Amino acid sequence: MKVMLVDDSSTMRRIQRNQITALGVTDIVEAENGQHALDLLKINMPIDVILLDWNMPIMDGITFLKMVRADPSFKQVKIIMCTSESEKSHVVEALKVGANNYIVKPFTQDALKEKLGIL
Amino acid sequence: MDTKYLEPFVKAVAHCFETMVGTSDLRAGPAECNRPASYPCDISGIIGLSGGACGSVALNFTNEAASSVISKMINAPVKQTDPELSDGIGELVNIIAGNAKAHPILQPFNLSISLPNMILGPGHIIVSPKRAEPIIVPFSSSIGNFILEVWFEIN
Repeated sequence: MKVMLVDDSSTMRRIQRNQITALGVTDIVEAENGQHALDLLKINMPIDVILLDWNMPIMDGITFLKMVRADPSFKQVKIIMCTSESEKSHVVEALKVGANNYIVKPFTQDALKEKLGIL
Repeated sequence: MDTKYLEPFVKAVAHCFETMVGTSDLRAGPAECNRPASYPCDISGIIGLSGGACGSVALNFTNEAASSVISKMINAPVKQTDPELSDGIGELVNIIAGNAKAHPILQPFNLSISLPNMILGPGHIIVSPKRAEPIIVPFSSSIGNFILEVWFEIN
C-alpha cells in the first residue's frame, strides 16, 4: 500500500507517519497543502490512499478533493478526509464531492487502522 | 462571556490531550478572569472564531511544557528551538477549536475557525478587544502545565 499524507502541520504528518509505519506501511509521500499534493500525485502514482486535511493554506482539502475527482486518471485513489471539522454538514459535503471515508482528529492508531482496513 | 460556552473547549482539551498526548492525569483548575501570575507564557497558539458568534481560543505554554507535550505527541525529543514546537502547538489548538465548535451548545452559531497563529516570546500576554471578557482555565498534568484562554461573544 502506498499512502499520501496531506496536512499543513508537519507535526500531524509525523504523527500519521508514525501510526501508518507501525501498521506496516512504509511507502509514504507527504504534501503540505492541496497544490503541493496535486503536484506530487502526478509523479507518484499509483497511490492507494490519501489522508487529507481540510483547513490548509494555498489550497484546502475540499478543493483538492474536487480536482482529484474531476481527473479520471486518479479514479482509483481512495481519499480519507482527516480533519478536526466534525460537524455532520462537513462530513456530508466531503462524501458528496468524492471522499471515501472521514476520520475526525484526534484519532488513535486503532481508529486509523479501521479506516484503512475498510477501504 | 457566558461560562456555559466554556465547556466545549474544556472537554475538547481533555479529549485531545488524552488521545494525542496520552495524558491520563490532566486536571482543569477553576476558571478565572485573569491569568495567574505563576503561569508565565513563552509560546501561544491562537485561533479566531467567526460566524454567529466571534472570539478566539488560545493555548499558552512555557517552552519547557510545550517541549514536553510535543515530544510526547511525536514520540521523539523536541528542543525549544525546533520548528516542530510551534507547529505542534498550532495543530493542538486547531484540533481543540475544531472539536469544540461541533459541540451541541456551539453548533447553532455555525462557527468557522481560522488557521492557527503562533505567538512566541517570554512572558507575552494576549490582549483581547476592550469589550471582550476572556476566561482563563489553568490545566496541570505530569507532562506539563498550560493555560486555555477563551473569548466568545454572540453577535
